[in-house]
Amino acid sequence: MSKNSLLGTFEEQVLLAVWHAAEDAYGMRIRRQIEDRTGRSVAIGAVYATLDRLQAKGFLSSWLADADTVRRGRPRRYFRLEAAGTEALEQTRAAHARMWRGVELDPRAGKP
Amino acid sequence: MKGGSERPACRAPRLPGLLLGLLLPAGERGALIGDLDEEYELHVRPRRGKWGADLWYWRQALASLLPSLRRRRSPARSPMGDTTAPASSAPNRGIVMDSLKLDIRVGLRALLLRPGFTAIAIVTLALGIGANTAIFSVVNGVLLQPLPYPESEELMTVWLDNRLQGWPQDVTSYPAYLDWRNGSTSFADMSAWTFSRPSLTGDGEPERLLGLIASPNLFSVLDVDTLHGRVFTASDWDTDPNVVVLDHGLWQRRLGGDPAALGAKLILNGEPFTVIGVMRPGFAFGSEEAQFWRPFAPDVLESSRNQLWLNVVGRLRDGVTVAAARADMDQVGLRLEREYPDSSEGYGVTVVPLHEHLVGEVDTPLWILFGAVGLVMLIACANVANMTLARAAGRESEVAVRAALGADRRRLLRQLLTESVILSMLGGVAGLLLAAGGLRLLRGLDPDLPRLAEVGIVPSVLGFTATVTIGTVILFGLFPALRVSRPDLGEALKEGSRTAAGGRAGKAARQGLVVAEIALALVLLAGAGLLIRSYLEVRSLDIGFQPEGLLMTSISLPGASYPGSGDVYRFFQRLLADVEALPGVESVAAVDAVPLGTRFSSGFYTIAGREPVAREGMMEVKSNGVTPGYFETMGIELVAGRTFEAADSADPRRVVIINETMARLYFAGEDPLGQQFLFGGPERFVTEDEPNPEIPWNTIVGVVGDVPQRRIQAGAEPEVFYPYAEGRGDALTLIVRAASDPASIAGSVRAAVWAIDPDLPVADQRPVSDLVERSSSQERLNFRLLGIFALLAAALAAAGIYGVVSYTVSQQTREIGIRLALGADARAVIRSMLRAALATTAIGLLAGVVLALVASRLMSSLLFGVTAADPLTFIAAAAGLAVVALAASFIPARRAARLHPTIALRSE
Repeated sequence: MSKNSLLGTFEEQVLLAVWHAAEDAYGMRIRRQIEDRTGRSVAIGAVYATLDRLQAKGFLSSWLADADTVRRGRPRRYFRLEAAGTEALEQTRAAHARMWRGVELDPRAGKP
Repeated sequence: MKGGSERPACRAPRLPGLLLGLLLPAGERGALIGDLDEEYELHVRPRRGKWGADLWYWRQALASLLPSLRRRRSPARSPMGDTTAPASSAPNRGIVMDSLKLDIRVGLRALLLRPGFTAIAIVTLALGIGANTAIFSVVNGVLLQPLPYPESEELMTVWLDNRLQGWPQDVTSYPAYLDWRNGSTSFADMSAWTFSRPSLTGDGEPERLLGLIASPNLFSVLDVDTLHGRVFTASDWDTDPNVVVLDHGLWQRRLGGDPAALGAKLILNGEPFTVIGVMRPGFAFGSEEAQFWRPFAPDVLESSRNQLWLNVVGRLRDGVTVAAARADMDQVGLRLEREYPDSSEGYGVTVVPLHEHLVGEVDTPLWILFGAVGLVMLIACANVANMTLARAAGRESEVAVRAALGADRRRLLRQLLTESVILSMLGGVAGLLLAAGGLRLLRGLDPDLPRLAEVGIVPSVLGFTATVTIGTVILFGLFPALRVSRPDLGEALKEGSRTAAGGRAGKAARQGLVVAEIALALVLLAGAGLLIRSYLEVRSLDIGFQPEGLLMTSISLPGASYPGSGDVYRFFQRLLADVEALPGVESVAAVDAVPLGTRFSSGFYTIAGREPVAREGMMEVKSNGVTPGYFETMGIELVAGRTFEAADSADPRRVVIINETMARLYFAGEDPLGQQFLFGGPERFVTEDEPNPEIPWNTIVGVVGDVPQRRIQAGAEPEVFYPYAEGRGDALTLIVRAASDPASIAGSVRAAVWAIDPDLPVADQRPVSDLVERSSSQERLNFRLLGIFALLAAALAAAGIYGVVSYTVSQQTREIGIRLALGADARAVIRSMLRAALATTAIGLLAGVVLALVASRLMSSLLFGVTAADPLTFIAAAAGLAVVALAASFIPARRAARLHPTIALRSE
């Protein structure tokens, strides 16, 4: 695992969405996971671009399956977390925790 | 497959997926679009319905464009490499961005190699997009944008529905306003206001200002605050009511824009007012030119119920509809009629939303204009489509070869589309620049347009432009590109028709486009023609006086400097004498209310010997005070009797002169001269038919020709002239007849005023012919704007015809050469070419006439003195367009006939 496998925010969200979607981790489900959990509207193109990048880095693998009439005969592309991806998520979470440790925010004022 | 249930077919829109798919690598395209379709059909459409779901689909597609473009080429591992490869193999995988850049480069080069085509296409598109953007800016700023007050849809104007005189939107009295305010349940609050035109004196040149005097709650009704300082409120009545809030421009100009100027005093009509606040720049209420707002003095509470002078604006309570407010105010009106029958009988209440009141008159013409530029845009697109079709036809062999060599059809499509996109983008940018310039021009042409300050190229306008630009790509780019890149192109070419797009289907498409262009151009030309005739009809109306050489100057005397009515009278006597003595002045007089203006007073009058005295029997006519010599100076015809003499101004001789309309309406069949006449209504009477003996009657001594009081188009209303005398008002307009040009004596007239009183502002000095011009300004603007678009449309249509005929000529060059070589007469060749063009033109004109008949009905509210189906106009427009079309066909046809046969035969 390379040292620099800290994930960007969106990458992290995509990987976690793949985890949450479990058996059902294909494009549409992944997008909806992110949209439902973060509350932000997400473009499917952006999701695919990130999935592509993550796959290139070895964090995900994918395969095609399941065409049907709703999709006009087009198959779905399913994704699965690889070990490298799990590792990257762990490292990112640890880094977050370290940064947040001991932080108490006062919403009213900036630092004196 | 999951589950086992029947999956519905997908009803998602196809186009966004097609366009997005152009940017995606083949392996991913299917999965992504499939995901969109699945989500659309199973999740989004059930929840949002068709329109919401379609919108969601488009937004997803558009939002995905950029991320798809930005993707870098993946390294050794092919992106989305997988085991089940899609059936259609494409030679270009995954290198999307680079290939797009290549397409752009290739496209640009192709366009630059044909500079003529490119230039004409860009100019055509720029004209269409620019015109649309400009007019949409106006429509957006004037009609679509909400007014610049918080929750402006709650603001209503409230009027007296004066059923006695038939004026549904009349001003009201202060006591009535209070009753409306207290008696309504639908309004949260109401404010009354009126215009004020005081003189500003003190430091600097004396100046006449325009402002509002309002009830103290005006700003709380509008819910706006000042930029500096504060607004006035009801508590100012307890402390010091002489306060004023300034417009930003006035504050800059007279007080130097200094925030410390708050608290300074301005002298209005001789009285000091403390400046307590300054509004932000761009704020307006009541009039775009209002420069100040101040509260009434508390003595307004004592004004009479019979004195009608106030506008009212109100804010509805939350959630109250306009219909509910109208019902509520109708009840209030009924109650007032019962409680105060003497003053309120026959009066109701009208509620009009503020927005509608401000723009109600211009919304029809603006929408018509919007429709017109839409037509121009369609014609422009048709032209460029024709040009693109022709061009694409020429490249078919190239495309066929490439396809035969294995080029991906999608790639080819994308490449052709790229050129169209580039053209559109450049056309769009050029169009924006044109629109900005055009808007500046428009502001100069029609400064009276309401809310003009809010017209500008704002983000919604840019969004509109972008949409129109994309639309034009689709309109003129997609179809030819699809035609040329279709799979069976090779077959079609093999069959020997030299160009498939030049074949019958292509030719029909081009002819069809030309027919459409001609039809649309005729619609616009006919419309413009109708407007021109309306304008000419208005101009030909008889105004009843001679405006050439007349100069008008408004003078209003402040009460503080001229406290006694005698002072006022002496001032004007002296001024008239002084001005008459000036060199270059033929005659001078003064009048209370200038014709074609807005100042008119109306009142009730009674004619002796007639019943009844009840309110419905009262005549309401315009009254106007004039000095001796007024009718002569204005050049108004004397129909009977005599005009005023100097002696008439002295009490107790009381004489009046009436106009022809009044004579016709109230003295039909009798001689009005010598009849007795009383100013005033029931209040002048002691009992029902016994007038107050102390109030003298007036004798009618003359009848003069009609002069329209407000708009020329409305004609003259009954009017009574009385001699201007002491006590009859402190503001007059001087009318001076110059021996030559009115502008030449303007300076000396002003000097004469200041020689008597150097502190007196002189306002509104201009030639009377300006007034006449202004009264036809709406018709003039209408025909100019539509005329410009009509000419544009005609020019574009002509260009289109020229293009198509040229193209046909170039296609048939060999054939023409053969005919010429075989001895055909050149003229016969030209004639045969022209016949086809004529047929197309004729069909187009026919279609155009039908469309124009429909369209002109929409315009009928703009027309004056001419019917919407006026045959003369239609024939003229059709004839004009036919001539243009003929010329546009003739030129390339003649060129064909001039060809040397050998050159023609050799051409390919």
